[in-house]
Amino acid sequence: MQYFLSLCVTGLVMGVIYALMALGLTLIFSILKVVNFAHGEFYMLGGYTSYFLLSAFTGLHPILAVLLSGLIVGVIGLIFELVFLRPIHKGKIERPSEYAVLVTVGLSFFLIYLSLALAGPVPHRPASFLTGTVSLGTVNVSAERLIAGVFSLVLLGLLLLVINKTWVGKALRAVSQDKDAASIVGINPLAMNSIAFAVGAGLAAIAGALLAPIFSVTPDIGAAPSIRSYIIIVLGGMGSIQGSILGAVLIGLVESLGTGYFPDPSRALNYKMVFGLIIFAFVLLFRPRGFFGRKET
Amino acid sequence: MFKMARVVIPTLVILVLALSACQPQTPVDEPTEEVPTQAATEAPTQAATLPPEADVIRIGGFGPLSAPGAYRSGIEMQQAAKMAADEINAAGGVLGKQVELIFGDTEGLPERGTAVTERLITQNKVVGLIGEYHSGVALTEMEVAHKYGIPVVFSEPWSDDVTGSGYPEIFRISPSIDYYSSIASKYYAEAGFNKIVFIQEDTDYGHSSGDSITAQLAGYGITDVQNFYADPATEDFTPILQRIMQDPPDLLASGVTGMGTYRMVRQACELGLAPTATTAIYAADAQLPEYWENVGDCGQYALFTYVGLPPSLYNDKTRAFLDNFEAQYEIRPGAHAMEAYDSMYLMVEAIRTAGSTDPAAIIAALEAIEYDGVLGKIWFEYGSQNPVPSDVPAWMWHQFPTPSVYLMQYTEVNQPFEEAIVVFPREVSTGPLYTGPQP
Repeated sequence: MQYFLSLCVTGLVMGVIYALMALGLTLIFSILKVVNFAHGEFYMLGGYTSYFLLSAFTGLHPILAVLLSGLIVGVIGLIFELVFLRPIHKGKIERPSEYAVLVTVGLSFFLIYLSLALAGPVPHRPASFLTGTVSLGTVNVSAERLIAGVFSLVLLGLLLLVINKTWVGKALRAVSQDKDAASIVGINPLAMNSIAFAVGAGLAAIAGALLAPIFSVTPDIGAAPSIRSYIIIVLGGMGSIQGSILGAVLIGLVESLGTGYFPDPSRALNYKMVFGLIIFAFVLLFRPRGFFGRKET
Repeated sequence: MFKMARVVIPTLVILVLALSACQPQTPVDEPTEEVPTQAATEAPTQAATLPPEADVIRIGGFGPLSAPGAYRSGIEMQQAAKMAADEINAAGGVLGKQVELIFGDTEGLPERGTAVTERLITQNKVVGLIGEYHSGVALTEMEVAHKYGIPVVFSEPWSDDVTGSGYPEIFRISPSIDYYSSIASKYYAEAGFNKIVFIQEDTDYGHSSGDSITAQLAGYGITDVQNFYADPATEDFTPILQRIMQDPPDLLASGVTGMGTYRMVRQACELGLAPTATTAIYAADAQLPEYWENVGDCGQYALFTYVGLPPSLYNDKTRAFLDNFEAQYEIRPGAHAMEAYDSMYLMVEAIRTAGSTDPAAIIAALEAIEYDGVLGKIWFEYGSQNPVPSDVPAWMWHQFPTPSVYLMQYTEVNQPFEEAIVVFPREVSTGPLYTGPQP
């Protein structure tokens, strides 16, 4: 039982952090209708930003570095949206879908090689939030992971609050449902695009900064989290915020329990992402729109 | 705004290129397939049109310079090989010509290895090849080299099959898996580790390594051995470590290279699995300078392997190489860089001895070579003049028979590599067989 609980706690903590990243991707997709192929690189940038901030300012608290990383990468995301994605929504691009793919894939490569040029190929690890383990009943959890999980949970709660209770949140939801109708009632969809992209990039960066002390950071670190985020948002229903959170927690749990109980332990770790894909395939088989996906109108 | 984008995109491209050019220490500005290191502006197509009697002798290099390969090590190999080429040219070159190293990025992918080798031989007209880090890639590269009869000195791939192929063109200066396993298993037996769990890379190297060490440990009566396989890029080992915690071993060993090992060491330590008074930990690549930054206090008591002369046995060439490399690239290089550096010198020495760039003459010269490098004295015991006897493993063909392999251990937090304890072989050890945390 203790083993089962340990795996569940590990899966839940990772799931909550996955949710943060997936939520960013969902936000961007639901508002801009663009799949951001550079999302993993915003995650990577978050890790590096936190590392360099903590290296440059030795007294800086690691949690503050995480928040600043989100802010800095959010601004980078905002600039990218204004320069490269806004022309799509102003009708200035002839083939917007293809353009969006090319420009975000291009950004992804650009950021990977820029990081390689600036930080080098050697892995770096920012300072820990806290070392040691914390006992949750009979289960021991790494303090660093627990803090990362709790921080993500608080941030997710705040985001849900903003999205459900504030004018900006309602405006974002309105644009996601019907851009033209939102415009009629005085909402500026272009401004909402910028907000969504900046917040989405910032969330990915925060996830990267939270996990950097645990996994370290290299220029190519964004690939796996980014693939996982695509799986999560499709599983939860493209554009659904609740779906992304549920999908992320489910993927976190399935990966952990699958690895822990797979009959052949020598292969278990290798199939970690496959366990999530099996659930993904089953959900899509019986519910092609994902958990909370809306029907196309 | 779109007009602005048209201005900004090229500006950003120029910016990243400029940034790359400003960072000579980190040759990340070379993600392209072939990277001429002497004539940086020379395109491969131009090289292809040059006649064989050109004023340069081209030597091809290959290794991972970008993901998913182990580019952290591949880039250092490229830098070391370039350093050797520069030194050779500064000393007058070979056969009255300058040496040009053309390094291809294999990305750690076998199919890229095939393509890069094909291009180096057929378009760049290289007379010999050196390098490679990944065994799985080397196994495809050697097929191409064999097809064209071009000699190769492999620097780092460990798979027995590399030299076990018996191809006349293939030479290797790194240890084979079988050779390494014989040393490691003897150490584990002497240190009293009777129950061992290995976390291996899910690659050709990892599987061969798992099979070899399991078989060799059985020879010492150690049969409680488990091999778990993981992608080298695995981030979270926690679920499998929690599984291992249900029945902790005497030794938890990570054969995963690079960051995979650092993650595993930290996660095993955070869980309280290893190192403990009852479970030791082995960490591949712990000798690299970034080890302590990435594992923190969890790195204490880690055992690791070092290929190459340990600090206590450095020769003048080793010291000069390490100092020059650190001065040029601002990092202390790993053993793979030393192997690439020696491989380049070996190839050039063979060309000098052969007195020509004819592949058959270079192969004959390599078979007879005795070269004192940064790794010590290098030679190839078995070849066409001295075939591998039936009671000697087939991988001894064109294999440097005694590459230096040492088991070492960090006994203190942030201990410099130079001060780590050599625990095995015992003849050159600088401390006890194993030091672990107190109960």
